[in-house]
Amino acid sequence: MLGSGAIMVMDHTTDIPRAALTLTRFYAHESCGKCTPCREGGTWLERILSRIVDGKGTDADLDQLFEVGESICPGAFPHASSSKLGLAATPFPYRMNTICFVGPSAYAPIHSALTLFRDEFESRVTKRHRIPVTSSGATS
Amino acid sequence: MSTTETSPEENLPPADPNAVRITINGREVEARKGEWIIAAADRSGDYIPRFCYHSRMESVGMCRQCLVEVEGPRGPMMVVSCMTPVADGQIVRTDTPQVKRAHEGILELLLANHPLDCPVCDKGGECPLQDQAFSHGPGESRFIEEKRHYEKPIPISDIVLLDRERCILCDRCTRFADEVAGDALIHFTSRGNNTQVLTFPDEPFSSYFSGNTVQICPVGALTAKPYRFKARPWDLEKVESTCTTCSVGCRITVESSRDQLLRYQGVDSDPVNWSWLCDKGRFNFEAVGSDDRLAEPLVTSNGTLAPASWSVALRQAASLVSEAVAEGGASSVAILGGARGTNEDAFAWASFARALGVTLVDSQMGDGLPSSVFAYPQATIDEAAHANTVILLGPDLKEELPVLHLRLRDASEKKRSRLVELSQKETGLTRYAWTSTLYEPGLQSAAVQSLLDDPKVAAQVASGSVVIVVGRANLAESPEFTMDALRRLVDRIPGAKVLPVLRRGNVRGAMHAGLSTTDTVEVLRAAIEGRVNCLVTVGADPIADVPDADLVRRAMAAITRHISIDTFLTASNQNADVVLPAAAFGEKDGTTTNAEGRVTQLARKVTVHGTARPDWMIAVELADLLGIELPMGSVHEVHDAMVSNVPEFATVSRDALRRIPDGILVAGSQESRDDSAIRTPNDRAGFAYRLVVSRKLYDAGRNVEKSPSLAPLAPGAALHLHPLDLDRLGAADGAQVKVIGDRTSIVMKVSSDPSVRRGTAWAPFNQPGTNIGELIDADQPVNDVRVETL
Repeated sequence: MLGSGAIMVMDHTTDIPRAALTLTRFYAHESCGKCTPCREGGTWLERILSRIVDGKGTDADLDQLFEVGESICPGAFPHASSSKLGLAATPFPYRMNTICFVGPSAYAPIHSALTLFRDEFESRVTKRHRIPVTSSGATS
Repeated sequence: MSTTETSPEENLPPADPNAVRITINGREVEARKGEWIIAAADRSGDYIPRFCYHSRMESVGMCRQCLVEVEGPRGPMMVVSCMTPVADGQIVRTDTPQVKRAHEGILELLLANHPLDCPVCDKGGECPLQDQAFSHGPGESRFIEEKRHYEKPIPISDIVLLDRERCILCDRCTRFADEVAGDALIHFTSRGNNTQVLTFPDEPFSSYFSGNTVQICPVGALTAKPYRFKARPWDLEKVESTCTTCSVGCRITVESSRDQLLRYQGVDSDPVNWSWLCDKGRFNFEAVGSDDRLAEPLVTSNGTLAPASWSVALRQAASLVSEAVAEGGASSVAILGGARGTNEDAFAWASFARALGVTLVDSQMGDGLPSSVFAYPQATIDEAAHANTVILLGPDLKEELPVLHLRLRDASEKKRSRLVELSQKETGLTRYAWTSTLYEPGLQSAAVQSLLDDPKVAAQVASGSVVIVVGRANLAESPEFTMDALRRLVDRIPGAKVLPVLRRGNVRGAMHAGLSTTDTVEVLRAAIEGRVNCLVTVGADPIADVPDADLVRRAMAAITRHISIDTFLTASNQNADVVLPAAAFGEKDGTTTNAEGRVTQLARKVTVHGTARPDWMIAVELADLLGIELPMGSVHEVHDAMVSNVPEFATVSRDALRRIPDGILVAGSQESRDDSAIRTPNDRAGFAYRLVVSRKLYDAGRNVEKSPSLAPLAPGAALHLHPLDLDRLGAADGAQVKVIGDRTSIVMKVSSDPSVRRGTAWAPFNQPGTNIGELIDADQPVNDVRVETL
């Protein structure tokens, strides 16, 4: 499930982390700014994810995405089943700390992509455990 | 239902129909229907962290910090306790791991972009964000991105500065500005992660109530110039007291560090100020610490005032009084003022006057109403703010009693009360009024007549309780017209109550204590006729305060002996024979009486400036030198003497005041109604304007002028005309014009102002610049002016 409930069809050539980033960036940008989890959490998710997509993320960032998401939507979050991973689906509804569904929608693509395609994220992550330096050329 | 006479239930109080029982963390709690969970939890002692919630404002549920679990049909649900009403049988948990995780998560998010500059932040030490990050936060942040950056601090008004990086966007200040103050001049701009609080372009947050936003800000985003970087909260010592800037009598804490007043904060007193203050009251502590304060007594020698010791100055004052008594008897001594001090100050001076036989005594400066206004059934502020109909027959409350303005605005906005306004110029409450009538000065009674003859108004007035808020709307008009209109209103509306709004802090206390046996204008007339041999001014500046400038000038020139007790040198006392320095607010203990007659305690926080003494002590010492013994050795003894001698104060023993910090209402007044006939104002000549003069919040008074943050806010002298009248005159807005009265003419700025009634000219009183008082003749029922272009 990517996004707010619409069905999107992607083939195996799709870059899943980048697709998730596109959706999360959209919802972070759409936030009205009224309630804290969406205003702060949406943008935080987007910034972590864009670091990962840029190849400047770390292993800890992957767990941090779930942690930030937990502050937006506590408890189990819905996702599809995966026979490859042997995962059963988690059904709707989710619980949320926000006023409306924009905040959870920023988390939904990340949660789903990271749960079902974790290997794609891990391949983007720099295998170092240190704070990334944002200036250019510091990583490969 | 049948009950026997001996039924035990009969003696029980009736069950509260609004009571519901809820369970918070396993304990049963009684709550009121319609109440939010967070309010019920506050009473039961289960603290729920919060940032946006404020009990005196509407809930918005923005910060999400107050999430709790409520048992629902599908298991526990996470809800915000500031927007979820209680319901019978509701089960609330604030202590589950899920709630704890939510609180930590929200706090981590709030802190993500917060600069964490607590060590240099004024709020550090009393900061709800800091405190709740410690008590409910995760302990550390995992946010490693760069934080948001904004230019900071930016001034959003002349007094308040905004740091948008510290701001957590709780909506408290913006809600206050819109919902409570009615000055929606700050608002959220942008969206999403870039949301920020800002003013509108070129429109500063110039609200009379802007200081409240600084007090309710849960972080250090809003700071006020007078307190900025002056102290750390843990260095502040505080006592609870009552503001005496105007007669609303807001409860405040007086806070000082190193024996210097640094801040007043509003205290939530339910019957009075609901925690709000106006900026004048909040920030005029600067005047108390002013370097211009009188530090030692001054005595005239060789035509100039020179410092002297207290014993020399008091002996000099005593000999001035005894010379005057020897020359013309005690009736040639006059005492003016006393409305700015405490009840004890006023009572000591009244006792002094009585013992000496002084009869020329008044605490108002010719700008108030006669004491017969207390003869009517009196209303409290709460009664006014809950009355079906509030009839406004007085000054602009926003300018003179700002927090009463907030209470009445709230009554109107919450649809509790309908405001029926009778005024001479549009006021701050006009846009909240149900009906508003602008009448010409002197024609109050006719306005009342036609108002009550309107069947719609008559039906409204008959529909429930009525409170008449009465005060002096126009200083260029005799008060007899307002008193006559009040008489008619009370006679025609059975059950109507009256809330007199005389503006000086303790004017009501001074009048009850006995400081109003005559009228200041009478005293000044007597002085001109040579019947005043000695004038004692007690915290009074007649030259600045008496509307009729010519009268007061001639009177002050005719007075040969002048003793002044004041905190500053003023226009009136710079030529006095003896000037005695008085202790200011915050430097003395005592009690004060507000407009509704509520007596509350004042507290001393700092030592007096120089050798200043409280007014009551000066009265007692002066009496002693004159051979009169006043049995008052301490402020407590003065209070006890007042309680046993003044019937109004019979119920306000020191014990009772200590028990009830919200104060005690004075007992019924001893005044009697004055039903004397009134004069009829002349018809206005074709090209003349009837003069309306009233006060603005910020003026050239000492409290404002000696407070560096407030002084620049005085609007300055100008004659305001309706735009159409200005067009007819052919003068440009802001031009200098000649304003011609019966006795003299002055040149002043003219200003276009649609809130002025056509045919009248309005000017603010006691402003820096041209003195409008030159055109006011206190002998005239009303005053007219002509205006000519230069």
